[in-house]
Amino acid sequence: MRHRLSGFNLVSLVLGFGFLYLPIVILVIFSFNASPLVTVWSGFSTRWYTQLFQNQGLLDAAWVTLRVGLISATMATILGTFAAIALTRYTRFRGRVLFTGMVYAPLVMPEVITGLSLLLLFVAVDFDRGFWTVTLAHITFSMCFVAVVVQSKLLSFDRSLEEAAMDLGATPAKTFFAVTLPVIWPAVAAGWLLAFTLSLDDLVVASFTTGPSATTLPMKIYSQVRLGVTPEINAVCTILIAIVTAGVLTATLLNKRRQVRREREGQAAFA
Amino acid sequence: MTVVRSGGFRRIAIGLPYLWLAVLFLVPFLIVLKLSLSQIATAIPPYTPTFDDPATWWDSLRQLTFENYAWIADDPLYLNSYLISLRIAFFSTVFTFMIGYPLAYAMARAPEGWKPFLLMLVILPFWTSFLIRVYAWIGILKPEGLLNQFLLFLCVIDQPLVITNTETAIFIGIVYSYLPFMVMPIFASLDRMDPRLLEAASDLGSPPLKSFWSITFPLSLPGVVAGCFLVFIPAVGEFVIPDLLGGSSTLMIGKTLWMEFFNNRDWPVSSAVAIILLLILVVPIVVFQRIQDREAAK
Amino acid sequence: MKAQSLGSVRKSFAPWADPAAKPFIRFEGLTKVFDGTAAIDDLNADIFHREFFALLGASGSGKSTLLRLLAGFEVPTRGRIVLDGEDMTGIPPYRRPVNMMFQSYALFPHMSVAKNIAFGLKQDGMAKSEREDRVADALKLVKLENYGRRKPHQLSGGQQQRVALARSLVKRPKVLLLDEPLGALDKKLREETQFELTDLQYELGMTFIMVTHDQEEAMTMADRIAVMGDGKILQVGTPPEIYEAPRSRFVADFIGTVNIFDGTLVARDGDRLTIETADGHPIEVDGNEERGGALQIGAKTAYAVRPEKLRISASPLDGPNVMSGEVWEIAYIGDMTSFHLKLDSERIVRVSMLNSSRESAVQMTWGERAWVSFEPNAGLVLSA
Repeated sequence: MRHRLSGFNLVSLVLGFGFLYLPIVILVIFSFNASPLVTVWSGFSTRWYTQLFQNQGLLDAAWVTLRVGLISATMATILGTFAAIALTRYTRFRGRVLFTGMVYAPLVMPEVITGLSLLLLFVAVDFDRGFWTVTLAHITFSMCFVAVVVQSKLLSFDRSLEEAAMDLGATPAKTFFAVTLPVIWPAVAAGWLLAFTLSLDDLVVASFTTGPSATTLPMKIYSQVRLGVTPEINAVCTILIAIVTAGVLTATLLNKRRQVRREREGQAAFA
Repeated sequence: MTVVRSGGFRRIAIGLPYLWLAVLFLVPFLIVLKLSLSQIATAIPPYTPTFDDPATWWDSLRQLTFENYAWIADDPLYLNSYLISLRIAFFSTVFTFMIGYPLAYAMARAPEGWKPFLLMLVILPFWTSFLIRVYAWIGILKPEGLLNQFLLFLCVIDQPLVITNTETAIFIGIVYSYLPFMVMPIFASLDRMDPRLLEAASDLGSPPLKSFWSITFPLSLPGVVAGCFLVFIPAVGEFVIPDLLGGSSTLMIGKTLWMEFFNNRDWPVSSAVAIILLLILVVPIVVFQRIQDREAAK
Repeated sequence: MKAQSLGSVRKSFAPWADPAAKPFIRFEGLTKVFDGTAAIDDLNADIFHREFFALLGASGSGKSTLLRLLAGFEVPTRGRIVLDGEDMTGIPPYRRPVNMMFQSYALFPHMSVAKNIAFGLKQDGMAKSEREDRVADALKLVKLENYGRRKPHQLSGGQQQRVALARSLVKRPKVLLLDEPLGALDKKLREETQFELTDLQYELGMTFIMVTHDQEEAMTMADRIAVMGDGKILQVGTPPEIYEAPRSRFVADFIGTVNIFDGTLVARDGDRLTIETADGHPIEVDGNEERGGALQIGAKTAYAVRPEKLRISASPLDGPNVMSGEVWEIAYIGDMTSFHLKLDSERIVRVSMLNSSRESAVQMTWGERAWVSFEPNAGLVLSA
């Protein structure tokens, strides 16, 4: 279609995205501020970043968060993918309504309730709270997000591909690994990325379910933020933003490149 | 579709997530329910376990108490924070809509080539930490923050505005954090729309603004409804935003629960608060689900 | 190729007429209920070895469900399927000696053409070298020798169709199931492929069962056609049987176009019947002993006659069955012209005329009076 953006629409875009990005940009800029006062610019400096790498507490928290994120995202992806298959492929089994409810409920459940209920479970069974309880909690809520992401891909998936595989002699498990998984792979990867960032981001559930032995990065940031804004926290946030942005951009670009390659192959075939 | 009932694969695909969610979602939820009906005790864990021993099941059933709920009903603090939560969530949703709709509209009307890029711009903040995004606003909104500096510089105001620790700050935080949830579904429904509909309307004599209200807006309503629910439901139980931006004066229910649990260590009362919060959310959630199902059936 | 010998062999291929012939596939009281409605309703049929059998019906007639029951994707609610003497009940799709060619082709998008074709052989645990030979043979069979390394999305629709065919043939199934195999091809390609498929089926000596909604396709390709409606087989027969001797009003109406005159039997003179139509035209009927013989005088009946068996003329006609009316519609199709004639009773009669000379089509025009006639044995008595 050939049309120019009207003035109103252009203003909407500029204001909207300005609103979305200005705070983040300011945060990033002030992480390079020489002054410890966060709101007064006094020259460029990377001192807060160097200081960051000497802050053992922060580094420990980052390490905990990273491990929790990797383990929980991987587990959540496996469980969530299975859940998505159960929801889309097996329409009849006992307790399906309950199952569907349990998959969707955590998506809308306030974090405070998820955290509280899991803590009470861990207390009830006398499970030592710390790294593993946080990981279990993160798996539980993020697997539901993975399930939704993978489910939407499975719904748009041509069912006859699976039927063809079975028709040609592949058992259901073989069909899944040889045909279904390779086709839904982008959604599974997106689900993993989502689970990982959810885990990286979580403050509330981790605060409820952790013990004295394991402090996650968001908890650390939170406790320092309550004391006030510091350039050091700006630096931590900037690093996190950079990591996530790089991750999402890479994923998007890889996806895009694959699409372009496919198109080019397709054109070459008919040239 | 009936698939042949055989093989361990089916059993694993259903059984594994089922078992996991039953143990780590359903059971904890039942514990909260039970605890909300228990009496407070000072021991750790700070509650008197009710019906743990099956032999004394009937006995413990009689020990169940609605005391915690009565307590919540009696104390205006709780009722107030429920009402404040609903009010803040409602107005935040309205504000998010007012900002989100023009943005989604402009995105949907942008040249085709821009759309993937614009879409990514909306999604990207969603991937970055929630906590960081809320934190970023503190530096802007606080009395000696950048906004006040800027406004003072422009001589629009002569006194710094007090924004942090007010409801205004909470509104800004929620609108900012949940904007992508509003923009995405509205954009999707606008982008799906056949542009020929507008050509037809104008061919039949309708001026652009009229076409917007009679064609575009009604057709984008499913997206608007989805966006509003996606903002409203999580906003009610929000904790981080009111805690960091709202200060101690505004008690939203998520924060009340947190304080009841961590500061007062009253587990039964916080469980009861959780159950009531959930009951309040059940209505919009069920309505939302119904609407989504109906849309999906179309 | 060897059209001569092929044709003569095909002419004599009629195991269904032989009471001693053993069916290769047998449906016994097959029923499939979905949410309270029967998609397949107590269906019985026999299909023979090496037969090309077509299931023809509108959407929702149950033809696809029948195919899926045979493939094992659906489990029958009642009844059973016996294939080559073996009861298929409880056998999952991946252990059945049948293969299916899907309507959407269902080519695995992440695998090359060769890998797609090898997929089924790999499931059987065939050695790699043998597998490669078989894949090469299959590619040759569908004339895609040089396309093995392409991905499905790099192929045209016709090429994809042939890959799907090769993939379902390569395991040498006892029965090949084809679900609208030509549905996605354009008209020209479809016509070519029809003959390729029938030749292939004959050469391989395989049993083919095809689902289609296209009657021309079914008539061209199949040895026998089963017309389906409401989960039942309404009639099974060779293409000429189905067209010229439909057993019911539904089949007559479903296959081709037909004029159906409802009326009453008013006279009988030996084999010659007279039916008076509802709008008062007497119709002389001959050559319908089998169906007309049992009718009593005064019984309600119907007479069906195909448009091409009517003669149309701008001047009055002689003979037993003559009607006249106004030319209401003319559709010039090229090889023939189709007329709608409106009788005085407002009833529309369809006539089609072969355009055997270049002038014949333009003789009549809208609004003019015209006459039609047909022979007493041109049509068929139907149960009313």
